[in-house]
Amino acid sequence: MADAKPLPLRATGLVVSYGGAPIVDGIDLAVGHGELLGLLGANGAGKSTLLRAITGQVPPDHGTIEIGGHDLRRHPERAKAHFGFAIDPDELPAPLSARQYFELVAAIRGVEPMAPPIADAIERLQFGPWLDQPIADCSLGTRAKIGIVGALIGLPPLLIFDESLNGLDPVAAWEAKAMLRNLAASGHAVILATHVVETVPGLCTRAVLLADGGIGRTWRTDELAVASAPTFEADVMAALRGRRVAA
Amino acid sequence: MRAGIARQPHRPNIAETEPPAVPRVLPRETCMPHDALVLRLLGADIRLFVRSLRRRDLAWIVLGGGGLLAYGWLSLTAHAAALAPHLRAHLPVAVTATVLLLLLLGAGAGAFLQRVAIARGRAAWLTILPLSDSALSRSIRLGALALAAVAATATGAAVGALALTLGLGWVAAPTGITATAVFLLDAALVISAPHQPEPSRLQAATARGLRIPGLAAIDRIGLPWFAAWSWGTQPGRIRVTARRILSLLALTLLAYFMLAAGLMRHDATPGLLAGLAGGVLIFVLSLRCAPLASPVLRTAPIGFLRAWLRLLRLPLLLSLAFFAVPAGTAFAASPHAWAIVPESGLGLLALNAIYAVFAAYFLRSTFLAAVAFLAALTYFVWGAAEYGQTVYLGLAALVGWLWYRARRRYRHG
Repeated sequence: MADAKPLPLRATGLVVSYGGAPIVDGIDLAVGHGELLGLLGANGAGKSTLLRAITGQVPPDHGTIEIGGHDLRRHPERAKAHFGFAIDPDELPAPLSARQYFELVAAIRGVEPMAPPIADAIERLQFGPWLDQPIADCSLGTRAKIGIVGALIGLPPLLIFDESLNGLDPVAAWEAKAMLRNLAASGHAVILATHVVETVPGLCTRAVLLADGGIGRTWRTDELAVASAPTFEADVMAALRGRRVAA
Repeated sequence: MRAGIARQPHRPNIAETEPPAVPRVLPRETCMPHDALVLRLLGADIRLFVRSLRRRDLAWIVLGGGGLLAYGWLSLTAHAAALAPHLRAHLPVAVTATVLLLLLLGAGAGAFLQRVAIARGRAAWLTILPLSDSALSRSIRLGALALAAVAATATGAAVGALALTLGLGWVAAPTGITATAVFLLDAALVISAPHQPEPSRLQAATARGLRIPGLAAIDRIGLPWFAAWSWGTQPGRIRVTARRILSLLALTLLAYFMLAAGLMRHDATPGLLAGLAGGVLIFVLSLRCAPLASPVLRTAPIGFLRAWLRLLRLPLLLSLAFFAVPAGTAFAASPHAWAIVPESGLGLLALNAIYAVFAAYFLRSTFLAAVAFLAALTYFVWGAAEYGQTVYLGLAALVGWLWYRARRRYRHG
């Protein structure tokens, strides 16, 4: 029997270009409930551009993006209600405190700012002492934690993290990865763009490598399950070097 | 040595190389010509801006803007020609008004260009380079002065051409040159004034500011903290600067004098005019739409209209609060003309709404938004005086187009 629930993300024939040069060139990508997708690629491969297009920050030249069954172009507000995006630390509202930022996001989403999952995430990521400090006074790592928790407010079906584990201390990084695993296990779709290749096999259920604006290579769940961190890393390096030589 | 194998010169590897000696003082001839640094950065910015535009947008700017300028110029010269006998008869008044206008324009252009040059010359990446503070200051002044010279030349040429239209004959050329000199000297005085580096976004955000009782409570209602975020201050506080205090003082004094004049003559008009102008000015000074560009809003399920209206709330309250006092006093001065008070209030709301659309479009620069708003208002009021009220349909179309573009950018990038 076919699943009646629409997919958290379905992007079809996506083309995004800057100044006439295509950065993302004809990508088809679907992410299902319970998937934790690792997005890999060299600098400039198009990871952030793809995520910006998916989150409605840059317009695609061609293609469609459906989030939770809602077309992002035609119904942006409805589509955006179905994902949470960890804001880059530099883009957070600097004069507000983390608590005020959460209140702002929660009011927009129409949920409680300090509901149990958020309070739990704050405790696990250990930034309670900085909760009432202006974000401007916080370190890069603390701001990254605020961005991660902000994405979780309202627990939307699709959660997107663009290199959000960068700058986290080891404990926080470990806790963040555990949270992502739990979210995927509870049926949320999670996308994690990362350069930390060795974290992917133990964390993600699927991985794609972006190269030359397209999907260069995909690793299925069963391939990731048997891969160790060093073998996967070597595999990714070979794929990256191969693309570069071919290019 | 074996035949057939060429002897390769020894190439030391990284471990064998000596660290380069660091010169204590750079020889003069190897120094970069720092004076033109800001000017070159400004040139690069302009080239980047032009290159980043789509051809269609560039065509709109060149043809549309050029057409509007041409119409404005033709209209101005036609009016000047019609008024020529009157202006020649009152030449000292006309000259004084022109000089005052030139001084105002020169000072405004100087202040703007100084800020533009400072933003480049005091950029974070430049401050970590081995450049002296005096070299950077000189480069900032030179960059701003070069652009001011271009603006002064254009202004002088326009004044000279207007003088020709007025039939001043050979006096037109010296008039244009004098106008250029007045504009440039005035701008240069402003540009040469000592400048403080702009605080960084993070520095500005950590500045404590002055706590205003009740402000945080108002900002917390509904969608919270939009005003604090847009002002770059912590909730419940406003940043107090000498410039803001002086502006508010000047505005209050002006309103007081106009109210006194209205009360003495039992006339509501001066008070209402002061309230209207002050209300719009307070709104322009307090509205910031930068959060509309932030991914915090653009990736959240909140529509453009709701976010925009929320950003207007506190500035609108401040504007109406300023308007209420002169409006009340104007009503007291002339109770029989009560209908003009709500009319002025509606006028204030309409002007604020129009400015808010400009601010949403030019969301990175309050200055550009204010200049474009003033220019559009002047243009359409002038046009309406000439061709009738239907010209305001053009203003409505412009506002609608700006709204559409701002909303589109918010929703789709």
